Amino acid sequence: MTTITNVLSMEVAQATEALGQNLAASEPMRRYQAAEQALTENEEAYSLLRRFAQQQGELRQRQSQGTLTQAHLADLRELQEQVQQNHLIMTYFRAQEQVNAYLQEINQEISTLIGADFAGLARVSGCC
Amino acid sequence: MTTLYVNELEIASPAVVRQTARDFAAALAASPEFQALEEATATLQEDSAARQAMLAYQEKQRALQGVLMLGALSSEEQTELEQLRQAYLSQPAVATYLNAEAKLRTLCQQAGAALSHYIDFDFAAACGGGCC
Repeated sequence: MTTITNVLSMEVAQATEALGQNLAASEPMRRYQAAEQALTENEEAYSLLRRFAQQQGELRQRQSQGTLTQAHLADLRELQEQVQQNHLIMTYFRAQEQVNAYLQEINQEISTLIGADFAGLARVSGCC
Repeated sequence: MTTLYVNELEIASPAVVRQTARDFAAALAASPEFQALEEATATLQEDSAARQAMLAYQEKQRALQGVLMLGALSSEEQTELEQLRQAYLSQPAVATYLNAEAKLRTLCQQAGAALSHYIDFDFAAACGGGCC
């Protein structure tokens, strides 16, 4: 962590470290960490999620190339149903959504106090 | 500012997390980068030449919005828009403001990257926006 915080002033670095450590130990984050661990430790669920993500990527590529067929979509739907029936994956997704919502609340708190959208300023643009 | 830390097995209470978020906001607001942007904003608002140059550029941008989105500007329109942009950017108060804004953005990106590292989760991406 030293390499990241040492570019910040001592005051900001200390405040960032305190917030980072407390956020990491917050209930939504702990639930997410537990859900992620349970998922990665289950070979069947983890490999299903990886296949689903890979197939989504391939289909996006096919869509942009104009080679997407109904058969491809049917395969994806079948995989999606398996994902939705998997308790570990769905728990992981829900925990991820809760972390997103929680971090948005924290960002709102910070942004209100500084009078600017902190996450908007922190976002590194230029992906498109 | 109270610095509150937790050990790995504890769960931080919502009140403590919120307090550290407020402390973090206070540290950001007290930073030289943040103060410089506040000063630059006030100077820009008081500079009528800079404000007029900004308005002229923004009005032209708005007027050409449809054509701009299609990337169908004529060479005359392109030249006029570029001249207005340069006139705006050459205002000292604007240059100072943009420089201060870029420095604050860098500070927030560094702090955001550090937060993401601690929580092993992309803080800025989780807060929406994203790309495309």
